[in-house]
Amino acid sequence: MTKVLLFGMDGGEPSLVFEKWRDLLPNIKKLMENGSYARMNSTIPPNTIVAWNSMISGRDTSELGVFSYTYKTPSGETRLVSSQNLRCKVMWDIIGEYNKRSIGLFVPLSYPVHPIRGCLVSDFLTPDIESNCAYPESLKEKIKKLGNTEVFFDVVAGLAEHKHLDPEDLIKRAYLMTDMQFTLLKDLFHNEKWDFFMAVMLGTDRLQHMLWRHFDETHRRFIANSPYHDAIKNYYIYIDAKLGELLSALDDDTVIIVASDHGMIKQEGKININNWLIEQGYLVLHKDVDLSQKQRFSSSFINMEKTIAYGSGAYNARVFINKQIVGSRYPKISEEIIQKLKSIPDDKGNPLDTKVYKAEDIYKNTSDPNCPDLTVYFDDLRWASNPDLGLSGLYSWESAMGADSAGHSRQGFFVISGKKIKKKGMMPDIDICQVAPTVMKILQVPIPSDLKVKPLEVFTYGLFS
Amino acid sequence: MEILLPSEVLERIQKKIGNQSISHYLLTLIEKDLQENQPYTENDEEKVKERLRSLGYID
Repeated sequence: MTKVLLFGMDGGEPSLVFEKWRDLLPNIKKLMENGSYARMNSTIPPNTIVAWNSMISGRDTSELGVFSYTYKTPSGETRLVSSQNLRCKVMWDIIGEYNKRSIGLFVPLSYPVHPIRGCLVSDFLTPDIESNCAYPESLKEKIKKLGNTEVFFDVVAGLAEHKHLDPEDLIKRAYLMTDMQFTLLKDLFHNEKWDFFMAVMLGTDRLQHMLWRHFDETHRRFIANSPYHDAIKNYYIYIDAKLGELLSALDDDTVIIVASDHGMIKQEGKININNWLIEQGYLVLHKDVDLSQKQRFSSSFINMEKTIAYGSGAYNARVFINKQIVGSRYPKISEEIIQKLKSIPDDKGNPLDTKVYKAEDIYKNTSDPNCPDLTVYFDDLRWASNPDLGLSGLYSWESAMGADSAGHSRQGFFVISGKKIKKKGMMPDIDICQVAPTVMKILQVPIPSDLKVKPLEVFTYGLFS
Repeated sequence: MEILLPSEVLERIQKKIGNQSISHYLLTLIEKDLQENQPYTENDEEKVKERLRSLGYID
């Protein structure tokens, strides 16, 4: 039976993979030449935990029930999301019902793990090795033997103020993490039975966030002659070589997918969303909130009796409209805020290509209180959102915790190759939700009847039908 | 939302809690159960949140 290997590169940027560094990545290039590939529209927002789970479920953000890393409980408490917040089945749950075995490694929002037909090792939201991070639990012993178990789950684990981390140290940690992860990956790849094997490499995302301005000459904070100019490129090359080690061990009845959850884009700066909402009269804070110093925004600061809207979100902005206050004026107020958001210029007065998405236009289920009314991509994500308070004016270059060099962009990449896959070359853009039904079709597992997204048309005629 | 309980179970609960509210008793049990199934301890959650703050992923 045909198997599927889904190799994930978190934040893998299509323009780098398909164009700029194509010839430096011989293994991905070969898959592209022998198969089909496309830019892949990510979820709205292009958030890591949301996007990977859309990819392996076929569901949109609202169906997943996860909009961000945190959610508000009915009592107003802010809690961290986990795999238990997911409201739908993901690939291993679905195909497991048809006796298919999965190996899922480091897939964002897989912590805590749950029993599956196969093996699961959780992601960067894992507190530490002693937590519920591995199924079967015996895998923990393998991980412990690898060395620094703290770095095993994330480059930045155990470090405060990541963005002030020395680049040299960050790079070393990224390689250390990936080497350890790959040792486990190869062990399971070779020694376990599987029909679906998925692993997500996190280092691409972490390095790009921090080091983008070291190589992108168009970045407004570009660092000329940086010793880290090639750090991201070298890491892509290293990951491609690691992928090559897996490919050489595969039989020809395996379909290979290499994909990213979102791309990356240089970050010009941040728009202080709550400063703007205050200035526009939409957000009213309690009188005792001290705006003389920089601090993180908290919903406890909001005077809900007078507030029309407030903002959240670190890359894209999430705007929540206070429906209790606006009542039937909701459509009018919503449209008014959208038009004003779109007219915000950059710090030099130039217009921005800002996109604003209304919940009812993009989500199937808008009743979740954690569903934002408006999702805002300032300048199509070239500008980030900063909800912090105590900042001067509309623009900032650092959040409360530091500065970013790049943020997430709207499209990741997708490459598929295998004996039964058409050699279509570059395809028109695809949607991230199409990956799950495509994998199910390859594995000859029925696609759930309520999943309306169609599989990609990449199959050789007659096969898998 | 209504939850139907067999009368025999209701009687046993009433016997156990006396004049206390059955709703309160059940809510306490459910909250306790949910607490035990929380994916993060308080310390773990703060540790991961701090990691995410340092990445700029959460406010």
